Amino acid sequence: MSASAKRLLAALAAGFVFGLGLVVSDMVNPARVIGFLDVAGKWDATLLMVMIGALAVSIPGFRWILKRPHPLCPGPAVTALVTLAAPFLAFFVAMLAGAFAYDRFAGRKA
Amino acid sequence: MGSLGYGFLGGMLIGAAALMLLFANGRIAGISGIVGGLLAPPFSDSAWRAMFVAGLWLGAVAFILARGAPLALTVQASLPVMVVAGLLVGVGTRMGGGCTSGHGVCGVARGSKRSIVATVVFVATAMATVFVARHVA
Repeated sequence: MSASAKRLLAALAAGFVFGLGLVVSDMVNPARVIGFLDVAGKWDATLLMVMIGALAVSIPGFRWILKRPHPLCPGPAVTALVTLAAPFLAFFVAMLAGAFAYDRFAGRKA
Repeated sequence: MGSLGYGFLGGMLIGAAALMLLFANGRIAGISGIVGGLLAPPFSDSAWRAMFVAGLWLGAVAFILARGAPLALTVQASLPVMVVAGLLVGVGTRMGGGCTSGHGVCGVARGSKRSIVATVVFVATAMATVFVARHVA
């Protein structure tokens, strides 16, 4: 599969997970959203829990992804993977896992 | 699991989706931006935007099929109010450069002061609006 096809598939997958999150959390239901905004009425904290859940994942996740050294940017990285054979793919995945583990456990926590 | 638990779980899925789009596409999962780029000139990068929106719908359909029941959505506003609200959201998200997902989830995660301000303002304004609409008017 070409790098651009992979990116299209990734966008589809991201949208799928996002859409699933919206329906699972019931954020797609206007009444649920208004329940949170109606501070003077019977207050519904669900939307607040959605934000907390989202930020619990996105805050550390964004910090990790954005701190990765260049040129490990998505575009070139994905493109390069397409030309490599299986042993090199394994090396690349292991390299990512190692980088993540180092940042997570031994690197600066800033 | 009550609505709070499902809310938290759904929120984590949304956060994960934002990470997926950032990692694989280098893009911010801001729906107003994604849809805006799809429907307005210069119509750049339409393919991935269309795939993302298709994904949104597929995710919802998958949930409906898995549960075996349609979504139970309650809309209390009249059609004219929905039109006005839609116009305001369209103008506001363009002016503000993002929406709940772009600013509230992604922008805040990036530590963007602009996003934090935007999120606080639209939540506060929405709360004030609902208060006036429900308890004053």
